[in-house]
Amino acid sequence: MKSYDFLKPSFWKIISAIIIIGGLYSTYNRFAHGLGASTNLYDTGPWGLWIGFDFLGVGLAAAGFTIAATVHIFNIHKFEPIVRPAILTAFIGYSLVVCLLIVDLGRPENFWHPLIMWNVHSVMFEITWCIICYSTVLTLEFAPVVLEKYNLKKPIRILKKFSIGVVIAGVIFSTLHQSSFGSLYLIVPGRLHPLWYSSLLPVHFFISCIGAGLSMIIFESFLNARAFNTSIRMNILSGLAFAILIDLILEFILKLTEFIAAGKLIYLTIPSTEAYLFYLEVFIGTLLPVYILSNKKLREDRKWLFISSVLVISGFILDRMNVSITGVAASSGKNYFPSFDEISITLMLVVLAILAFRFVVKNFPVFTGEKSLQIIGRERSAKNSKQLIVSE
Amino acid sequence: MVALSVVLTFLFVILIDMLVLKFQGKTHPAFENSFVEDTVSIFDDAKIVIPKNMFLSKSHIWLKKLSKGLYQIGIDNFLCKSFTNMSFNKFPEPGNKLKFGDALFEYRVGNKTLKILSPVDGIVSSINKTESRDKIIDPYSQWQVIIQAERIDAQNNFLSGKKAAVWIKEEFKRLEDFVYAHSGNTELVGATMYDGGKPVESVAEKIIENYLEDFEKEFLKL
Amino acid sequence: MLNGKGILFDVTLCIGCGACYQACKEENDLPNTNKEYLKDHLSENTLTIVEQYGDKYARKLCMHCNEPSCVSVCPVGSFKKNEFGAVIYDKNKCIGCRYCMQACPHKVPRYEWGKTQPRVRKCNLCSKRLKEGKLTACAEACPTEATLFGDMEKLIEVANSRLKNNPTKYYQHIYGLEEAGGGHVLVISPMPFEQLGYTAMLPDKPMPELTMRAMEKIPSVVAAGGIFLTTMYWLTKRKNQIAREEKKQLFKSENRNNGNKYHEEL
Ligand code: SF4
Ligand code: SF4
Ligand code: SF4
Repeated sequence: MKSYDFLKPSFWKIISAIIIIGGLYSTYNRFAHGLGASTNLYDTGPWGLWIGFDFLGVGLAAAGFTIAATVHIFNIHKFEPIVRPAILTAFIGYSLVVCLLIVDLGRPENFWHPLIMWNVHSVMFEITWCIICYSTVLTLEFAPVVLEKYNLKKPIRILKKFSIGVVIAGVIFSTLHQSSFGSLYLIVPGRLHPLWYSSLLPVHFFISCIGAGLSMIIFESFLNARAFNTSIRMNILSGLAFAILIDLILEFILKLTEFIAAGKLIYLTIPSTEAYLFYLEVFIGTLLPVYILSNKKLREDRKWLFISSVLVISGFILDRMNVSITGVAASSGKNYFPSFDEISITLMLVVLAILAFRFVVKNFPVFTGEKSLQIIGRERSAKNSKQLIVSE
Repeated sequence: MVALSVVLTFLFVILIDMLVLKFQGKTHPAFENSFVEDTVSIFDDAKIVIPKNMFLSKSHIWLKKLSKGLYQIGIDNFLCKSFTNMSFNKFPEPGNKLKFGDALFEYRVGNKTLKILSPVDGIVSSINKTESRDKIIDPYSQWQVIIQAERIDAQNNFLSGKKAAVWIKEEFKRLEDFVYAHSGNTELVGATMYDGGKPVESVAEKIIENYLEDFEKEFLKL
Repeated sequence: MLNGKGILFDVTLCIGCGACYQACKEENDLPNTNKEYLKDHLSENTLTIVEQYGDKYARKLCMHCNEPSCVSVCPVGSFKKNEFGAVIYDKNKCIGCRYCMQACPHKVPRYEWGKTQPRVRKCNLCSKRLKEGKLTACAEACPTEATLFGDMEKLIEVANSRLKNNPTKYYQHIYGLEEAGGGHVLVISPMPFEQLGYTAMLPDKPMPELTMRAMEKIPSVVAAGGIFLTTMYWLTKRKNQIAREEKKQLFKSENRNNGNKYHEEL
């Protein structure tokens, strides 16, 4: 354990450092001078990049509840090795979202108000509560991993007793707030472009987050393999890919029937920025991956698996960004593009999330790949090494 | 526009990462040549084939009749698969007398040892001294000891054929439970139970190694 | 049916003098924001505006909806309808999520972007004055009674009779009576309202109903989800257990049946 190795510069380390420094400066700017000085938000377009990233963070973290349900509730133990990465992803995703929300709130010092000031009619209120509850659930679900490292068996045993209840609660909270992010827009039929507005928005949000969340796990497995030289478990990932395929098809059918039923097909023929971006979203995020994944050979090929996961994630990013920014641009009468501070704070938080992920993966048995197993092995034989490894 | 920029940034970062890797002379794991995944698990039932003329004892050794009163002895695939890193130790001298339940030989795992018990009374007639002794590829063709047995008791409970295979399977199941019970690390070991590959074996092995006495009691009693 | 106070704005009477605009600024202690008041727009320092459309003038302000989106969406209940029917804001509760601004069908609420402890700003129907029994500052300042303040019932009556008595002069619709569930600010005009910059095509149903339809389902999702997941857990677990036990059983019985046959071979 050469603990100073992490100071050794590498390409990404330098980039990360630059981004973090820029982000810190912007954070200072945001809190010292207010939203007006640091963002390009305005009265008729009060939500911007940050809210968009909240959608992304929560959506891409969806594997946390999907996988937990698959393994613990449906008892399909094949996917057990990815329970931990999924929960960790969710945990970090939600932390990112909470940080972004705090930055985004006009009165961050009042963030705790929803706890005591209730308005049960508000979707935002419901989301706040679900996120609080689900973060608690995630903490409980991830706690054993940390406790294990320090060999605390008793709390693990206690946690295990409640584990199924916790998982079930987690699935319900997730279902609620994942879909509620869509419900946020139900009240603005006049604002959100009809290509995205639908009374089924909550259902769309729910279905699409599952495919994206699972793709994120695939993507992460590759990242992890890249960073730590661990092996990639193709049999599990192909299984995930199949689930993604079904999810994408379902999403497409739902969208199609909804478009036909609501007579929205006409909007597809009107050339506009919205329509182009909509096409792009459907093509990249749905059609192309469906085409790739429906071929069993490609599904079991690591290269195509990686590509399709990148595609699904890109499509998902497009979708959420379209709902939160593109779709409301026309009705807000001004063209929004995020300011430097908005971008740099967002980038900083993303980089911090990645670093946090790395840190946890390195120090705790998350990916049950070779490397982390060796760490456990080492620990089991020499139980006294409790240092945290900062870098290889 | 914003949507597009975000996606392009995402793709751009992936692209740059590829370039960085290329610059460092590495390949992204997604574009490595696919290698054949190691799907053989220690708990993979399908892989167990026990030759017809073999008899398994509860202490996980096999007996094969050579001629009247002469038996070859080796370890079975359960024992062999439970530990990848082991060696044989302390063989009895040829000519020594052995009783039912005496240590036939010792099995070294890490820095600990396991006693493998003899299921028969008899006299040691020869031992395998070749170097390949410790590298077991096919446990059922590599013998360790030849013993001259006077009498084979029915109560020794030998198993053979299909029954032996079922029993081995059952033993693997028990091992699974054993590892579970001794891990305090259920989820992780859960992973090892259902997924193939070498790393898996090493974790299970580590756990078994740490609880070797328990293992002996559970699995090596006659 | 509508209690409380409100405002009736008659486009035909408005001469575009900007007295209401000025009065509102004074009443609320707001700085000047634009030399040409007709070109100003709603902002944190401008709670009402007078816009010019050809030779017509149109006032814009919060519509004080009967079932306001802003009240419904605010997670902490910063917005409230008071006894006059005015929708008022409590800056001490607000967390600054700006959902109210996103949700308002008339795009009314504004934000103090420049401050580090910003508030949401919008017309509050001069609730302080109303409590003292006065009319709103804008109505008081209006020289032509284009902005008319009064009881809602009275205002509706007046509006209706004006439409009826001058069918050629007025476009036959009272804007704000039914739009998005209706509110306490009514507008009548000689031309269709979208030509005057009022948000057109609003459904007559209150907007919060759209959300309610989804929110209503939450309890059933929770209940059904809970039951479904618990049953699934129990069923799949049971299935696995049975499979395991069956295997064990098979092994045992086989062992017994075959007895000691094989020993003879030894
Ligand atoms: S017009 Fe907008 S701000 Fe005014 S009460 Fe209605 S929803 Fe609220
Ligand atoms: S910005 Fe303030 S008043 Fe508006 S919805 Fe959020 S908390 Fe409520
Ligand atoms: S009612 Fe009061 S606050 Fe509202 S526009 Fe008129 S003067 Fe301004």
